[in-house]
Amino acid sequence: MTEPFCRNNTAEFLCRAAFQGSHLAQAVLDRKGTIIAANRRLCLLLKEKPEYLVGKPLNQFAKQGHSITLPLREPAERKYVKGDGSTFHALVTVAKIPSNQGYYLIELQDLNTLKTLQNNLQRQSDDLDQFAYITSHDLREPVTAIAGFATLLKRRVYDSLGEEEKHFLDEIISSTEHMAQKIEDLLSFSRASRVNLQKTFPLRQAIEEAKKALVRYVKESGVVFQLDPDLPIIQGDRSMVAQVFQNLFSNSIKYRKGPPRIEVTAKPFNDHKWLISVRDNGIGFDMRHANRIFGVFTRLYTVEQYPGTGIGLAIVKRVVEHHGGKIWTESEPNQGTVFHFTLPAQNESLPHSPD
Amino acid sequence: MSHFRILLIEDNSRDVELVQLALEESAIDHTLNVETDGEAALRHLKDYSPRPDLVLLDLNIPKYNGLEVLKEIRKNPRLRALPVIILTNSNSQEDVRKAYATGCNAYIRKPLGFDALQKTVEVIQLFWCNVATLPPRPDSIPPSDPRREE
Repeated sequence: MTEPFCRNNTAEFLCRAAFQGSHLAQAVLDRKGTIIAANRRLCLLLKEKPEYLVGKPLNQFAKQGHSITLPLREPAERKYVKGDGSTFHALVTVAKIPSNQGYYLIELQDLNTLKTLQNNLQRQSDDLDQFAYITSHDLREPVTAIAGFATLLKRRVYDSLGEEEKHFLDEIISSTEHMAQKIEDLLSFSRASRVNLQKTFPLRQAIEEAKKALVRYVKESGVVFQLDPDLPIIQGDRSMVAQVFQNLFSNSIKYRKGPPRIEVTAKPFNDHKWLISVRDNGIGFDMRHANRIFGVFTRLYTVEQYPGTGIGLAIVKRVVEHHGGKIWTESEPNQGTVFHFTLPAQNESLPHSPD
Repeated sequence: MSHFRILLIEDNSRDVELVQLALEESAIDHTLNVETDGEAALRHLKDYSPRPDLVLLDLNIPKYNGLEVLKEIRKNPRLRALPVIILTNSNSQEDVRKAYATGCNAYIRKPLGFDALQKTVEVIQLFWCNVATLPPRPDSIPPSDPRREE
């Protein structure tokens, strides 16, 4: 050990404790793949006693055709057979143990548990979507009734009211409108999870659709678009991706500083994805708030400063994530903002369908 | 045609009242009949005479839902040409698509605020009862008339 991390006489004890106590199923293999040491978690996972595992090749516990070859450069998914005959999926990671010739530390991550958890989570998230959709839908009914009767009341009695009472009634009406807007926003937010990933479309088409939806705003502000000449074909939901651009563009225009300019670029990204960047020359923001801006109904400014309810970027994030992508941002006050996000590249096995 | 016979199919009594008031405030010469569920609405359309000039149909109603009522209307040769306007809270693309596929003449989302509602009923009345020349009603055509078959 070139850099001792503890006093010499405690090193072995610590190593043993870390290995045995780890929540990851781990084993040390020799260069032939024979198990030299198996930790408690691995024994639990394979449902075997340590003395049974040690001295046997790890591949003996793999299903037919699921052996690994050392050294394994990238984590790999393999199937293993437990002592009771049941099988499970595991993500196998191999690390060479430095300074110990030919020994490997391997980790098995139980994907079955992970997948069950993921499914549960997915189901809960779907339930929540459904809940948000139904409640916002149901809430609209009383809100339209309140708005209807309040405006009717205003029409009938407004002129006979004192200044204060006029104010009360106006507040009721404007709050109802505000509530109705929030309900609309929640509806669009829950709709943002219903993306159809079966189709492909040219990214340019989604951008044009977004520009078209904002045509008045675009004209009014005189925004200049600069689009990458090489925009890719995307695997996903065109109208939802158009919504992403629409929300980002309208933010860029809203938070402008002088004549607005928006630049869209696309670059190949790892994992069969495209990295799309939308850059503006607007007022920007302090990166301390970077996480807040994607929240539902979170805003960095008051409604008086900049109108809006604060749903736009939450929808953007949701659509991107439902495409299996990620979104992040770079900004600085007065230096403009860039939104980077990834979208799946056209899946070659599926035919191109323009709509 | 200046007298406007409307059938409103709506289970929410507040929405009924608002539509009623909007029609009254607009001084539209009208008769408004209300049915609060799909079954009663279909019975009304089949038995009641004279039949309405226009149906305002909510999607979310008891017994038969709005789409089922609309389907029945379009299946019935005597009701087929009746203008049906969906007036609902939903703006889901799915509902809009299904409603048009089933044969509604227009899909309108319940507007927010009385002024907007009044404008909506005025425009509906203006278009369907004053400006547009609608083809003769199938029920006024003798059964042997070949025009009955579109």
